[in-house]
Amino acid sequence: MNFEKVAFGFFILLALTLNFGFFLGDVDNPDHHDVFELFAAIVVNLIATVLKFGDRTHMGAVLLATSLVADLQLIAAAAVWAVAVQVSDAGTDPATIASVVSLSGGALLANIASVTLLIVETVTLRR
Amino acid sequence: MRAPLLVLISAYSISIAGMVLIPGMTPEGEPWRFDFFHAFYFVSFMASTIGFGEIPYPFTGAQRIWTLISIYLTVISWLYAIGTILSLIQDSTFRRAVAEWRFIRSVRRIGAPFYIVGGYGETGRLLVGELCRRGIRAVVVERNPSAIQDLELENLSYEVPHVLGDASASHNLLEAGIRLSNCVGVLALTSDDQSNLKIAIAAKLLRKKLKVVCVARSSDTMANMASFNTDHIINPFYLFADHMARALHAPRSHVIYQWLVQPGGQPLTEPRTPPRGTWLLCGYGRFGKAMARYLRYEGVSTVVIEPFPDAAGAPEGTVIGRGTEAVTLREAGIYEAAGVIAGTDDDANNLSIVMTARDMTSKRTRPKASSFVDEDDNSPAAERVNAQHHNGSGLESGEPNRNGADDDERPKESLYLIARENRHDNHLLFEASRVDMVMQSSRMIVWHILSLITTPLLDRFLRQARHRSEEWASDLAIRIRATCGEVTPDTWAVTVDGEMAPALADAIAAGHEVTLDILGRHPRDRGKILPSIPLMLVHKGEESLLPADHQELEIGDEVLFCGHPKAEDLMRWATLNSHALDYLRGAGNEPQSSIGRWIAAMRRTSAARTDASHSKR
Repeated sequence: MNFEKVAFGFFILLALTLNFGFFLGDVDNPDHHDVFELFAAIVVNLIATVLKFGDRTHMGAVLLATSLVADLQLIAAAAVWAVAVQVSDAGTDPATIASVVSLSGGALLANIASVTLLIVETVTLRR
Repeated sequence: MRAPLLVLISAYSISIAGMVLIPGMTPEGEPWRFDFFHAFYFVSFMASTIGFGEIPYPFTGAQRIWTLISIYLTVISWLYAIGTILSLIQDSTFRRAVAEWRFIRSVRRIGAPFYIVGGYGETGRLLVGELCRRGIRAVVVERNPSAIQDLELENLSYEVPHVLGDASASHNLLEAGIRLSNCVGVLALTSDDQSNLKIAIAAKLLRKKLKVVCVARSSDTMANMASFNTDHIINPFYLFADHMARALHAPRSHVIYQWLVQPGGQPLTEPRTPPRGTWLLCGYGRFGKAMARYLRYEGVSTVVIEPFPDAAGAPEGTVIGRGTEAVTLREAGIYEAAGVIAGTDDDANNLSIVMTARDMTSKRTRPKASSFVDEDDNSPAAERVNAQHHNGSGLESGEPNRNGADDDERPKESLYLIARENRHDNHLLFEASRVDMVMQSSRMIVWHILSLITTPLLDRFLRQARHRSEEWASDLAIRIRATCGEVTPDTWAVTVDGEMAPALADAIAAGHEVTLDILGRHPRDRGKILPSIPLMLVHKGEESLLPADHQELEIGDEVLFCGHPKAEDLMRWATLNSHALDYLRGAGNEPQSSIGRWIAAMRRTSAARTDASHSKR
């Protein structure tokens, strides 16, 4: 067993689960979507991205791309939230929360793709 | 690279999470907490040690404790990350990777046709400088880091991409762009025959049709290179020996050859014709063997002087010695000899040989023994050589004097001296020694390659000219001297096609008659004739030497000109600019634009009217 592989799989999977946890719930209900979960999802996604650096294979490139997409979506979600609360006085109204959650939904797709690729690679290698 | 980023992300996330979780208080005593946005804002300026203070409200004790922990955590992670990044930039492997990447990118960006030069030694440096001067791009692959530094310091008019590496390694050739369509040739110029051979093989294997020019110094390698179709194999020793043979055999044609092959704009000198007779050949190495072979072919007898005749495979009758001592030179018969060739691979020895030889013979023809030293008084370099020579052959210095007295009544042309220059550093010394011919291998290689790749027509012309008589060559030499004045001519080719000479091609396509005479006139004043001579006209693959002025040009013709270095630029007016060509053809200055034509037509009618009114009166 390779510790690096464990950490790699752990963070990628954790990125997906946290993202999913944040996404789960009514799309426009602020009570169903915790800001801490979004924060954790962003941090874990960033770590997963860094872990994917430096792999020169084609698979590595695609994995990195999915992670970058997820980062982009999640950071956009956080930015929307911050602007709504700090700048526009709208606060966490249903419309804001809906757009934040839909952005994180996009990130969720990217994370699913990432995990799928990871599983495909693992299965084809069979080591 | 990953570790510092991971450390940074964790330090930030821990600090931000702590800030959000720890409760604070507003000045009014109400409980208050950081949200993520403000926490990120606070941690960002804290971590970068900018520190705007406790925003938006003064902190509670718990918040201050967490801030303390966060400061050390984040600042140290920043230092760690920056330190790692800096050391990565300084890392030699990383730098090499960057240099390689830059090299590949700059090669891809060249766009124009370029040559790959393998080996940036003395020859490579000369050649790259000349190529840049002529606007031909080059890419250098060199093994020696100090040579690469020399290249970086060189003030060249074009960027010359270079990489540190062995040119015979195929990956270096690939990085240098051997597979690019605008790579037109590989020039293998390292000082090592084996490397050149490897470069040639690699180049031919990677791209079969590529032009490969190789320098080889031994006949084994030459044969080996020829076996896989290397386009041009240059052996400086054979090249010089061939020179020498030609100078003996056809001195005037050799003069022409030398003038045309040299780069233009140098002082035009007429080398002395080497005399026939017995020649002394000092050193029977690769150079000596080539010389002996070519001289034998010309029917000139040689006496070889060689310290190790058995090892060198010297012929019978070889005098044992270096030739730096008067005694060996005398044994070899210097007083009867026509010339001396100092061809050892040691420059000090070569200089010493020519000095000793001249010393011995000049004492014989001139009664004053010291005259030779006086001559060179103003040149410190020669002085030093003199001192060296006297130290080396101090024993014999008295002898030739006695000997010289006997032969004095038989005056003879002074000895013809040829010295081989092995290192360019010593060039000043060889110049000061004022021998009749200096064999400089790097210069000869460079001129030869340049004539091969810049004006391939010149090579064809010279090959044709070889079969012409001495009178023909003599006439041409007089013509060149009259045309170019006191500098060596430049040579250039004019190709009559739409790309290289659009004005010419248009005029001919329009049915106008364009002769060589029109090309050879001054574009500002067609009464003046440009200092140029058409050397050869290639019409449908057929070469005709020294075509007549009234020769008409046709599409597809190629003309080789020689002339004053300035004439080439002036001639370009006629080939590129249709106005200039019209003027030269005597077609007058026809306006080209429609408004211009209209005005000209108006002028003509009004002029006709005034003429008519004048004639009426």
